[in-house]
Amino acid sequence: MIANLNYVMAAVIFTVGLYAVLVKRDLIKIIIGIGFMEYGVNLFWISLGYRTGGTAPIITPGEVSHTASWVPQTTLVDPIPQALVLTAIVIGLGTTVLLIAIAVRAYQRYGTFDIQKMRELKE
Amino acid sequence: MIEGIVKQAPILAIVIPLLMSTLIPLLGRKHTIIRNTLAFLGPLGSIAVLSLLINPVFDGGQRIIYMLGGRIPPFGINLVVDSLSLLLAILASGLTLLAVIYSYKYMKKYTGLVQYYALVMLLMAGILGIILTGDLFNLFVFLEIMAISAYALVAFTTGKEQVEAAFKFQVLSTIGTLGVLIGIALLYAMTGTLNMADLAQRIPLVGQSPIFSFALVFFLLGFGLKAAMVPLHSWLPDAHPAAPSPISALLSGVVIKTGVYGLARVIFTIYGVSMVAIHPFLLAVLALGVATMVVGGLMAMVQVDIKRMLAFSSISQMGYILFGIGIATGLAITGAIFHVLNHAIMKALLFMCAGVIVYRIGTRDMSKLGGLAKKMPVTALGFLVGGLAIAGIPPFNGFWSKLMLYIAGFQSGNSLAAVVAILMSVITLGYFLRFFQQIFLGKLPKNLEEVKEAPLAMLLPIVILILLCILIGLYPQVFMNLSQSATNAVLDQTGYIRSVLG
Repeated sequence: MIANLNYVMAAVIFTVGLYAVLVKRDLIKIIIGIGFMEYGVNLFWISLGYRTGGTAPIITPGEVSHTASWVPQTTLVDPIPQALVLTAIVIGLGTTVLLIAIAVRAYQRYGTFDIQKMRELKE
Repeated sequence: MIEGIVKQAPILAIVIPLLMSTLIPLLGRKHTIIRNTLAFLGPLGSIAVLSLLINPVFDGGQRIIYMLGGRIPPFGINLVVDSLSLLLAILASGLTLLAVIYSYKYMKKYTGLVQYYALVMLLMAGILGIILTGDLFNLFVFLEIMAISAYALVAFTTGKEQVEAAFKFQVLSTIGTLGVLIGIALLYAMTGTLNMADLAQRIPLVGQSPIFSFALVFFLLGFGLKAAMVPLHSWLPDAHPAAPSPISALLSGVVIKTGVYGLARVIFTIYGVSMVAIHPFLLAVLALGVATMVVGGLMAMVQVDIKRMLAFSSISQMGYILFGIGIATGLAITGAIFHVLNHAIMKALLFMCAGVIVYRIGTRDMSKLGGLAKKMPVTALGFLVGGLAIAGIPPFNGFWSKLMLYIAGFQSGNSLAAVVAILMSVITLGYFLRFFQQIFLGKLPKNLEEVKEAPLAMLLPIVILILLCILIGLYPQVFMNLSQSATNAVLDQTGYIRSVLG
């Protein structure tokens, strides 16, 4: 159970975000919900790369003989998910900024952040 | 020189529009002519480099592999150009070119056009990236590049309607891309690789696992949302009408097709039909496809807003494409790919005709229009050709792809679904003729007597698209063969693995 806690947490964070997106009427709260969902997925990715007792996958020159059969002496964590999550975080920043920009525009046009009121004002 | 370009063609096709999207804000601020030329050169350059690949890919049946940074697959990112990728890439660049020409006049009254053209180039780079990449995570990155520029373009004119539609579009679409990301994570967890060919190789080795089915569901959710599959379609009828008309043409023409492309790649290239067919997954795609065509078609009937009607009709036509993917026989996939091509052309045509009405009259309400055929003969012809083609009336292009889908439906024993598909085509014909009659025939309202035909820059893309509709309708064999070779490429899993991993 404890070993899988980060997966459980990832699912919980994702679900909290999804709940906010589906239920909340305030644009800002929806944006926060999107952020939660993104970080749930990021946590999931990071957990995939984790190895119990693993160290950082940095290889120093003395340690390695450049042959194909070289096997690291210690367990290394998987570096690929970390690189991918870094990409996903940057993309997440971009989407969040654009969402906030659109929300600010919406506030200027409608004078409210409330989705329900916006719909009424549109008619 | 030419040989060097051929070698670099896959990456150049993505880099050229990407370069233009940075050059336009840098150089195009002062002079309109520089901005317009750069925006024109982006898609044109992509078409030029892609056309160098036509011979080896379509005729030779090869796959061109481009290794970024020279890393041998499965390490690093590689681009794979097979018949399906090349067909869609040329289609996307061609439509972007027409949309850019159309935008010269249509967007003239707006400010911030430097950003507009930069975003269009970015959108195109994203689409080409999705289509050409051979790496699953890279596909996600390009999906986001495409999507973010699409949100910004929908919100571009920042009216009340645009802002609300863009927000809804972005929130739902982000959930879709997150679904794709979770699917990729699950596949990575099971196989430890992100390269599509390597995935295809390793999935059978890992064997049956519920995780694979789970990942498939997430891919269906994510790509289905991008493809406006019912019940995940609700963003489309808001977002596509709100965007400027050339952008609506691009969104309905190619952007939603990337969802289907992703789904087809995952089902046929990565998993393989035999792997997917164990579950009733394809049946689900088929059922959702039928639901999509019915819901889209019925909703289109009751619209008064011309662009909203076209948006619902797009949903309906996406149902036909999903229907073909769900049947998953060779003929069905060929029909689906052919329909992707045809629908892109006719829906772009229809949105551009609607754009003429918005540009000249400034309303999208069809009940306020009438008798415009005398004032806008070319636009009326375009709308009629597009409507007849989309309903599947010979001799236009839509007839052939729909015919292939019907036959495939009956052959595979899905007669009921095929009958529904035929019925929906009849309904499509019904509502398009009714709306044509409402807009272009009948009595001309008094306030519209001064209306003129569209300017030349807007008519040119419309005429090209009309000619394409008729040309493909008259000589379908060429394009059927292209779709056939695309189908062979996407179904040939072992060939894909061998050409990437050597």
